Amino acid sequence: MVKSEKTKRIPSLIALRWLIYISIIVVIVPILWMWASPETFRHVGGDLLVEKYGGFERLSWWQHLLGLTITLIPAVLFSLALLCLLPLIRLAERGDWFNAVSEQYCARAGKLLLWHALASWLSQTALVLVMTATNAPGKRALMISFESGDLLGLIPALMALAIAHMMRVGRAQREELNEIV
Amino acid sequence: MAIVVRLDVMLAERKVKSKDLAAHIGITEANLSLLKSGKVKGVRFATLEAICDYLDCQPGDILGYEKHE
Repeated sequence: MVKSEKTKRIPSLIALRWLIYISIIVVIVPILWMWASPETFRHVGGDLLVEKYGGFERLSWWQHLLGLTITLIPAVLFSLALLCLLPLIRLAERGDWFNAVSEQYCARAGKLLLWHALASWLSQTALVLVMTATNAPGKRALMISFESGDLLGLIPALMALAIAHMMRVGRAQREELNEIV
Repeated sequence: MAIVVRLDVMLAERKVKSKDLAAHIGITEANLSLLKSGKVKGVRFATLEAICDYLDCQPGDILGYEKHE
């Protein structure tokens, strides 16, 4: 019974691990591609914010660098949050869910997802600010937007933090029960 | 600790071995040793009931309270 449950579980965890690797590539590579070769990215990228503010061609080297950094920060934070799930998968494969290490990784993933939500919200504002920094005075722009997507980004972060809290409470209860004979 | 476990005294009075009591209650000797030394956070009612049943005593004979000044 236990053996069959384990054999069922492992392929799904392997799939989840691959999903994490692919997600990291899917999140990081388009950003690097967009800044490295905007003309080829235009065909697949659709409407780009940079194009609306004069395009890539007119940007100086430091605007390129800063633009890349600004767009990369949320992606890196998201990737780090996904990387925090890998040790959790490893522990799950060993059947060791409720311990201090898994609780730490879960909380870390939640915090990184919170930072990702904040960074994604601020990145567009910062990007427009950098794109128009070399414009003549009066033609510089500051854009602040708030969409439902920004709020939706908070949901996985709060869920991860809630799960970490539940793990902490569950572990404390188990440790207490272990000391009762 | 304000709660004092007098299980070792009761075992000596009844001339019962820890091993036999542990087997009757259904816990390990290691856990019984921890219980005797008061190094546990709590005792289940089922454990207490089994001890009282085997030693033919009351919970008050095993546990006591000493007020710290």
